[in-house]
Amino acid sequence: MKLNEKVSRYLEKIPKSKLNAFISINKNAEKDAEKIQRKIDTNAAGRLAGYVLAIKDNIAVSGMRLTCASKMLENYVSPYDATVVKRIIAEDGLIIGKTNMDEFACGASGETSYFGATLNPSDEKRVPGGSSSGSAAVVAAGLCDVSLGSDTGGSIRCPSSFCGVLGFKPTYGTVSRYGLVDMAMSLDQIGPITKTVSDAALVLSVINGSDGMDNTAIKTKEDYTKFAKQKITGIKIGVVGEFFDGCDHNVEKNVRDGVEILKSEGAKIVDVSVPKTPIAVPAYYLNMFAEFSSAMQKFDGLKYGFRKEGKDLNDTVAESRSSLGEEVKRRILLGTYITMKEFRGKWYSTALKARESIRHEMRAALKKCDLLAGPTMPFTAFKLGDKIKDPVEMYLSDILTVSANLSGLPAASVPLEVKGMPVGMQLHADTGSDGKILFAAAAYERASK
Amino acid sequence: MDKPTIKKVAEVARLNLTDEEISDFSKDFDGILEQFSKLHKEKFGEGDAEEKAAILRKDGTQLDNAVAEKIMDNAPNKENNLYKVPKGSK
Amino acid sequence: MKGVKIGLEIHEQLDTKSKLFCACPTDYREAEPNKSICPVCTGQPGSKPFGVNEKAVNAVIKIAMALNCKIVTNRPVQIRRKHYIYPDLPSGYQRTSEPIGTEGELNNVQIHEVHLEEDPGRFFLREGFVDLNRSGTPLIEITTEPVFDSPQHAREWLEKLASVLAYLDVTKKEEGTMRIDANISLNNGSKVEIKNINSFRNVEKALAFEITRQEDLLRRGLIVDRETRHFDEKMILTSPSRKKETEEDYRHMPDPDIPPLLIKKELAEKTKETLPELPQSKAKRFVKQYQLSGQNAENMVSDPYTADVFENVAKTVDPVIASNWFVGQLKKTLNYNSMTLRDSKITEKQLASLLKLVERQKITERAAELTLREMVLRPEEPAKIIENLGLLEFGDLNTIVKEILDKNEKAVNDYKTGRKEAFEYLVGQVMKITKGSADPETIRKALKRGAELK
Repeated sequence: MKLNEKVSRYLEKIPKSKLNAFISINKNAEKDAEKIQRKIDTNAAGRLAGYVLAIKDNIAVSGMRLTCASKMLENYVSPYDATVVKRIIAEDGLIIGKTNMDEFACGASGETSYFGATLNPSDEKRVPGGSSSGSAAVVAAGLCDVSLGSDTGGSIRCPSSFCGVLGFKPTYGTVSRYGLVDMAMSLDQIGPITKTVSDAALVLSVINGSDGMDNTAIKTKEDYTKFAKQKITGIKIGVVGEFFDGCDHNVEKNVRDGVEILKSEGAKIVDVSVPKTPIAVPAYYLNMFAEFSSAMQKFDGLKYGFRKEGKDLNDTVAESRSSLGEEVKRRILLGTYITMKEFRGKWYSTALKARESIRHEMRAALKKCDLLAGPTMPFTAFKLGDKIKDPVEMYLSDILTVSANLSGLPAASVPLEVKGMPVGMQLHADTGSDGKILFAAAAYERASK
Repeated sequence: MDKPTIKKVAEVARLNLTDEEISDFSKDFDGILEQFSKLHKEKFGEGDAEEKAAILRKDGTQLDNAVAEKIMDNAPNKENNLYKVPKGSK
Repeated sequence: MKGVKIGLEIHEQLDTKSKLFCACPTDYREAEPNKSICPVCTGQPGSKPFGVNEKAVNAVIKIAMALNCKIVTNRPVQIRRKHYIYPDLPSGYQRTSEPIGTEGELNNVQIHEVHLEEDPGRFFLREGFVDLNRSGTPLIEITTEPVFDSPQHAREWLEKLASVLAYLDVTKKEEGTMRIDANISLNNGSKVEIKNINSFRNVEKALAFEITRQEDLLRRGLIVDRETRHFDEKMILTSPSRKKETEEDYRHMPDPDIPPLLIKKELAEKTKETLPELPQSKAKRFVKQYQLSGQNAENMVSDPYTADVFENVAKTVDPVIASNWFVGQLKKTLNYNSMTLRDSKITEKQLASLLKLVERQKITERAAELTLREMVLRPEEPAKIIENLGLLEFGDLNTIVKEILDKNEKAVNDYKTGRKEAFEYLVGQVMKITKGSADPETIRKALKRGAELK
């Protein structure tokens, strides 16, 4: 099939979807497709030629809206391209649209979007997970080939687990964040959401590599496609006991079966422990709140975004900022609170120490094995509205994903072959060993089919 | 968290909150902070601090006029290419 | 003044082509509003700081060294976010480094610390306009200990500091780039901070006003509030800033987007070797090498350009005579025209030839001064100016004209009533004294001007 035909089919299918997974569609998609097809026909095309990508709407694509699913940025048109977008376009990837998400990535369910919740393609009464809700849903529903999400505490892996697709969060610093709207700068990382391991490896190969526009993107560019073909014989996989505490029985069983499949493919299985897992959620949320409140300072309604005139300058700023959604405000307030003079000693300083100690434990566990395995989420996708009224419960659902971000480690949610709602198996590797996750995931993919 | 504290935090964070929001957040925050106070019972021994150094950049200029123009296109209000905002006081 | 304690915070722009965290030019003075901007310096969603401008970091190290600071090489120097929301600050926080130099000293004033930060944009608050061209320009901030005991002391020291900065040649040369915050307390009372003063004179004026105000409060048994005030240049008074107290909690946080600066000992040592001779040591050398008075030497070294020109002139002219002219007539003339020696474009050669004439007493001091006035405006060889002005090697035309006019009151009155022959008589008298060496037309002009003044 020619690329323009493929794009036309997607463009027909997208408006019929009830998932509410896209916020904007690229108006030039068909023209772009023709251009790329011409390159394909003359053998002059890049590595992503033929691929149709969706981009989470917190990543800048020049000339398209960059809303972060917020009223604040409803009409903001990005003046520039994110580094990942530049790299995708340079390799002839076609961007079809921008996907729905939790507002400013604040949410684990996809329900906090100003444009309404995204629905789970496996069951439209259930949440797709968040915050990259749209990016996981569009891949699962076949509304594009692959997508990009961003992951601060599980935002790629959680919806990938709930929707049954592969979500990959690379080592912090592997992919440039230039053009990714900040949630928590020291935790954020862009990564691919795909149906296959080879697609994930290809997209990662295109977008990774150091960037002068992001001081923290310092890893030398690598080609990950070779990893998807390696055997896992001799690889040591540590099953983390704490990761199954409080986990749904059904999820536990499926994940343990998944580990068995890896074993039958030649991996060695060992038991390891990360005793600090129960404090991962507070350590994560406190660090994230602090950074998030700092990142959100720029939304003042003066230079761009929603403005509501108030009685004076200060009031105009406060009125404009008050257009932000409830969860966003909650996090700004908590982040402000824990970094204020009177309270920072008690909260923020403790959170920084807790983060270091979790990083220490995770890396110590990874000295005993190549990969850590466990569930991505303690349960499968819950019903819309079930947790949205209870922030504590919503936060606790991130317990298994946040440690990777706190530690800067790569982690992926690998979709398991299950009956019923999708379940993801999470694999962690040591920093820079992203490739190991890919070849374990590829081994599972081959064995389970 | 009591209401005066929330009001003070909201002022620092530059958010105008309704009375309803203040009482809702007040309840929320107590629950959240109680959950997070787990941290205070922990002892933190060894930590892994990351060692990274800032990248230094050679002093050279690059300017994309088209991007500068698009940046100004997003201004909610402008006059003679200056952002127009409410007047200030010293 | 008893019990007065003043501390200063000086902000000066560093001389770099590009901004601190992005590649936009620092040409905000010439550029049209909001043209030298990019996603980074306007805080667009998703933008991140690029690498730190190396030239700016090196400039701060150099200045810290010249101020005899200890350079922080034993621990990482974090770039931190100082949070406050204001229209000139596009990200809602200002990036400022931890101290790069500490515990310095200049002219018996202790320097607390020296660090790097970014300048905000410009907010024209009366009109409500914002121009972000300046946003992100690298600044150095120098903080002194509260050791000044009078406004005059503060101003004099600032002039010394400006002189050191001029020698280092790493800060912006344009006028008015320096901004100063001054804090002041009386008798260990509350500290009042006066923000954003734009000249040394105004620092002195603002502090003088503040002392009077606080003394008056204390005399009446009232309390001096700890607060931030602004200086009103036109009214010559300070008034309280209307910012709220809660905004003073800046919630400092290491910037997660920028790993800390690591300054190597070797870099600090290498920088020390490249430091030029600084004003203090230069003044000492001038006294020793040229037998100048301490006052003359200090005066001349305050501007590195002037000091260099002096040294070249002193190769052919007696240094003492030259220095007297440099700090006397030359300085006076330049000040009168609000110019620096560099601005005037007078060459070393021109100055040397003029001063040689003075040294050999070929022209009077008065004539030399008049020549200098002309040279400042239209630099040319002094001989040519002397000729054009009709100034003679033995005296100056105007002095002769004045003498003749004084002696011949009757002829002057006759000329004023319209008798041309009286004027011709006066011309003849002048020509007689100048022995025909002066141009008759010049004599006529000088006489007409002189007569009208009578």
